[in-house]
Amino acid sequence: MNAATTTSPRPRLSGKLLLLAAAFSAAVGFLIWTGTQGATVYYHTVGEVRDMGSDAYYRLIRVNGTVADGSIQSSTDSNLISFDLQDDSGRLPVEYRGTPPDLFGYSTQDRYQEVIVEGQLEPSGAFRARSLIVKHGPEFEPREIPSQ
Amino acid sequence: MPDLVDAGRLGLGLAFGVAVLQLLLGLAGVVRRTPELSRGAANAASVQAALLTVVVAGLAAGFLARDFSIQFVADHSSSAMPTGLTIAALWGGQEGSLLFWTWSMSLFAAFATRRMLTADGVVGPHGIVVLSGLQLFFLGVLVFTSSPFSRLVAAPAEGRGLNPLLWDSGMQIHPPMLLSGYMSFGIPFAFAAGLLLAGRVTQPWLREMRNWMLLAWAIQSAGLLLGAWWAYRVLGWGGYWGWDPVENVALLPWLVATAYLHSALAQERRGQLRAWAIGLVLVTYALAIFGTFVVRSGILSSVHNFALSDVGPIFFVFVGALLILSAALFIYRLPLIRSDEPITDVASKEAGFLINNLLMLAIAAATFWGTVFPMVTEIVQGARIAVGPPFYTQVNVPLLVATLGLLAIWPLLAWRRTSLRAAWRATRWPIATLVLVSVLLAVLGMRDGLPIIAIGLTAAVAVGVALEYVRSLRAGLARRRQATTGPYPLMVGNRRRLGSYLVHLGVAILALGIIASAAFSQETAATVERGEAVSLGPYDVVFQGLRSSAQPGLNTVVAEVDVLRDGAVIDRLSPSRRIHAGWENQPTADVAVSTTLPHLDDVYVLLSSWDGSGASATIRLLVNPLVVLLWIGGIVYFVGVLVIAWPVERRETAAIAGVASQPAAS
Repeated sequence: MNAATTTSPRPRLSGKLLLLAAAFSAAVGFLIWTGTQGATVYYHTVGEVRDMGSDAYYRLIRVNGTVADGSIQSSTDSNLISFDLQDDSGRLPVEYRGTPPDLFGYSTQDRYQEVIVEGQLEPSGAFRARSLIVKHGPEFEPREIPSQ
Repeated sequence: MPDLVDAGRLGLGLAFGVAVLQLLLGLAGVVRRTPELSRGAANAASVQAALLTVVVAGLAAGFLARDFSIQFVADHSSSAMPTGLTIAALWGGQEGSLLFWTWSMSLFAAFATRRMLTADGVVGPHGIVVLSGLQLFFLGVLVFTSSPFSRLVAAPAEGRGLNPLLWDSGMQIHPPMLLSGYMSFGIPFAFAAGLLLAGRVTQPWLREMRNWMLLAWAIQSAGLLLGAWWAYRVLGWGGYWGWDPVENVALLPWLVATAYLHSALAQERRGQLRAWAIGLVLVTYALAIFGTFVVRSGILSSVHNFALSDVGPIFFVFVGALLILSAALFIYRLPLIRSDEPITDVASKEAGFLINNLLMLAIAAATFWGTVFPMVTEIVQGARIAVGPPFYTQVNVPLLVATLGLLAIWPLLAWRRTSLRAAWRATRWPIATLVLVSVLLAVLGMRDGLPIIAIGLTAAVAVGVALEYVRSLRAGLARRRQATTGPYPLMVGNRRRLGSYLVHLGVAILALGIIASAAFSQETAATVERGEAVSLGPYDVVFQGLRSSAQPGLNTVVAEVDVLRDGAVIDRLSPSRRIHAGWENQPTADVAVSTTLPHLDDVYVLLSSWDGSGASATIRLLVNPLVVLLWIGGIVYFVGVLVIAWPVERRETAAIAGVASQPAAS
């Protein structure tokens, strides 16, 4: 290592480039910040949604729960699916318009399917989901070893 | 039949002993400055690799023999599984994948330790110590917390089998690629840390480090692409990338490694960005281990939780220690590794490398933030939040477009500085292409700004690459004509540069595929009777009936459908669902895809459900335009990587002023 050059006061980037890098970093920081603001969705339990009352109307939230057994109703012509979402704190009627995800409607062995809905509560009391995500269990393993 | 459990344990124990010996020899080699001791450590690395190879072969034999007395075999395979898949089940769980990791690392290390000694007699022993330490850590985790060799007291008659989602030929290649990718970032890390420990910078060492990083980066690239392909063809949700935490953390080291490969070029050619590049190697490895931690601990909710375990905390401590030690060492040695050459001009190749670095790191920072932000919020606020794909799209797509712009222009500029006139001469055709294509698309009626720019920029990149190749070919032909003695190569020019142009083209094609498919994908689903069609855009998918087949442990229901475009049959597809015994609640879709020519639409058909009589079925139909560009781009990319890495005799370039503080050892 050449000691003379390491201690030289010469800048390793020109001022112009440094400025460019700083402006770029600021722009990316801004992008990330606004992105976080816009794309962050809070999870709530069914009970919390209930308690929020009218405060919950038209706010984008996520609710996590299981599909109540036998509650799925779908009308073939309008692409509308409705079901009850339930967790420990209660039941919430959900409406979803669109194509349900693959595997929606298959039950797991001893309880019904776990799903996440993202959308908003309407004054009618129904939760209008704009997206419906089927949760695979925390592990992809069968309950028991199949018998021969 | 030999007892595989005992043999496996013995093999792992021996390998662990050898690894301890390897580290001690390596340390002694450094402390006593005795090359023989370091060479001994390198030999121990070979022995360790041989032992682990035998252990892996033993476990594979256990799988093939369907020896369900081995718990790992019973948990991850069943006799209904075909042979290829049975071997792939080896990495289908925590213990096996850690064994595979440790084994592949030992193979790499057996070569790397030798290369370290030839690359630099002083730094090499330090690198060996670091590498031996890493190996010992992983082997220790394997032996003491996650050994795949535990015995079931009562061997079951049948194994549990692999999750049906993993029943796919992709299983044989995607996980080992990603595991090796994560693992292999450890080798360049050992080079960087060895350099910092020894406090000595030499060109042969830096070059060797770069080569290993190129290898790791190529493996990780393959892992990522295969993952996208697998998600698209097998998981059946119509996409190839969902910004799932497990995907994100695999992308992070790739991004930073990409940044490193570019700043390493500036370092090699002009002596610039040296400390920066070394820092990036350290960060890459920290991210690779962070990724392993995230995948293994299951800390982030993810659809990928195939292997929850308790090794999470160990990796967490490891990544923390790694970060602190690397940072301390880096800061301590910073005065020594700093480069003195400034980057002075924006219109220069090296400024392009710098911009590349900024872009790659920005994408990495955004992706990292989106991945850990929910975790941080939950810890700090106690509130559970989700950061969805819109975040990534909003932040990363502009950065991706900027990357395309960079790719179209900067590689064509000269080193040091390019006068405005020369810069224009070098880039006018790509720029003209961009303008022409964009205007043309707008005139033809395309209204989405982003895809227009993406297509224009990809065309510009392609033109730039083509020009470089034509130039190189013409120079080669001219030299051939003048030649009195042969043989001369067909093309003249820097092979690595020509290869990287192809990689750039591949990336541009990939990016176009990503942007276009995200913008124009459409989806529908309908329940139809036999003879009826599900329609989307110009496409009709006509349901022609069901057939089913049964084999032991597996029922398959296949729908026959005709694909029509504008009323004419263009293809017949057979989407199906497999119902595996023991997994009845998870009927796994086999997607059928038809790529149409010349429109390059993927007609993506999924059988959702059916009624018992087979008279009707629910069919899900997606039309994904230009997704095929991902695979084409991927192939171009890897051809480029091959061109770069193709082993040929290379003339050692003379040391560049201000770079090599030591004469190149050769």
